[in-house]
Amino acid sequence: MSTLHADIEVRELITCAAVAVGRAGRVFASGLDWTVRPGEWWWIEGANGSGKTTLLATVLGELPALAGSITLHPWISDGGMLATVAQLDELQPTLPLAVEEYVALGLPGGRGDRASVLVAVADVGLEPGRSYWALSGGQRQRARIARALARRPALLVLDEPFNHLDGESVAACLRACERRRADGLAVLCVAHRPPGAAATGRVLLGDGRFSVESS
Amino acid sequence: MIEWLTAGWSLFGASYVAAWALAVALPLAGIPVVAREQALLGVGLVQMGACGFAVAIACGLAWPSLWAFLAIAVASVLAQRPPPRERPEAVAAWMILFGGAATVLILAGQPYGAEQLARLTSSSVLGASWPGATGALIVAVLVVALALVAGRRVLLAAWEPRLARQQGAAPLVLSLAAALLLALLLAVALKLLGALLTTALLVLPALAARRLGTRLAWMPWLSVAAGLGAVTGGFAIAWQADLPPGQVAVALLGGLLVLAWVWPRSWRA
Repeated sequence: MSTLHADIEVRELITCAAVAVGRAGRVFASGLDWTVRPGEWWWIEGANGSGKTTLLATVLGELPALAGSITLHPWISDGGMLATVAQLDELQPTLPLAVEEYVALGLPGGRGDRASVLVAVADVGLEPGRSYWALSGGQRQRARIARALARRPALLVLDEPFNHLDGESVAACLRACERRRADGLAVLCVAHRPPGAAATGRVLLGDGRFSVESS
Repeated sequence: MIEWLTAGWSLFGASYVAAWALAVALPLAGIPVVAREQALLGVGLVQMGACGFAVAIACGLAWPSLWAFLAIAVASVLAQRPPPRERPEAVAAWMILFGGAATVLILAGQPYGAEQLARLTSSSVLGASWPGATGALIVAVLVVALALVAGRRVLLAAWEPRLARQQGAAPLVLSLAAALLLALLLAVALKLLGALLTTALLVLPALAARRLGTRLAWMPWLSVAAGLGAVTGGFAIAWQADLPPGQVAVALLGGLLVLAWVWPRSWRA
């Protein structure tokens, strides 16, 4: 049960039954039976091109499932309690931007709760007031995760968030996410080499099939 | 020191009010333009507006500003959807070159064509009437209101459209609404300030502000301060030295941008 909103009980955020995913009519993988509940952490693993990002897009309703059914909790389907961190940042360095402004931009309505912005920035080990553009690649990735966490989502989706990050940055990101799991945050994380967070399990893609392994 | 204001008010009061109103609105409107790295497109849109004016003058159409608005609005919408495999800079360059040539060609055969062309392309700040100044004030109030109510969403739609979509905004609708208001602003500014000062106030304050500040929150304040300072300084210097105020203001803005380029990083606001 999630404690993100204490008066509402949530048992399943995502339920997949016999799901097949792919693009342009080509099936990448099929046979996914999977349930994601509040507080769980799932790794999604597979070789390059096996369909990991396609799986995320399908589960979140951005692409149609080629077979099976996907049920999303309204928190997720309306996007209000969903936060995603993409592989690439589309923001161009054309305007000045402090770290906490970058995080606050991710909040619906913008200004939001300044305290939650500063907590999210501190949680990933960054200092407010620094220019976002002066951050290293790893620090920017921490800022992206802080931006996602500041929204206090029920589900956080990370697409290969640890590429090119050093050990310290990976540990800072994992710590920040772990703190929110106690409040019911569920995490789906695509990674080639999972860095060893205490996970609920993993979804493996290979040879056109899904396999779900619980820890 | 303020003789230009006290002694000049009876003659140029409407021009001062129009220029100040537009010196607030244009730098604000320039922030999303600069965020998308489309300063060149801003120049192109002003040029297309001048072309619209020229058509109205040549054909004897009523409401030349309306035709300038339509030309800018159409150009602005087309610029958001460049031809396949073409970059926005190419479209902006086409607008500047084609618009510039067409404006001259359309007015070339007209009686007083050269005079009208000069008024349109260079600054004519001192020629504003009170109805014109009132129009500038109304448009400036609209721009400031949009900036206060939806400025963040408009900026996000221009700068990070995927995030804007995730937050439930419709980037295309927002961009279209902002483009139409920009077209209205540019059409009014073209009539009152001329193409040179209009273009300068649209792009130079925002370009300077992004170099002088370290925070997004400072951008509107720095941009507007730069626009108002340049216009006010332009009037004051022009009065003392008997120079055209529009060109003085543009020169001040150009100097400010050079200063911003060499401004030490550690001194930024």
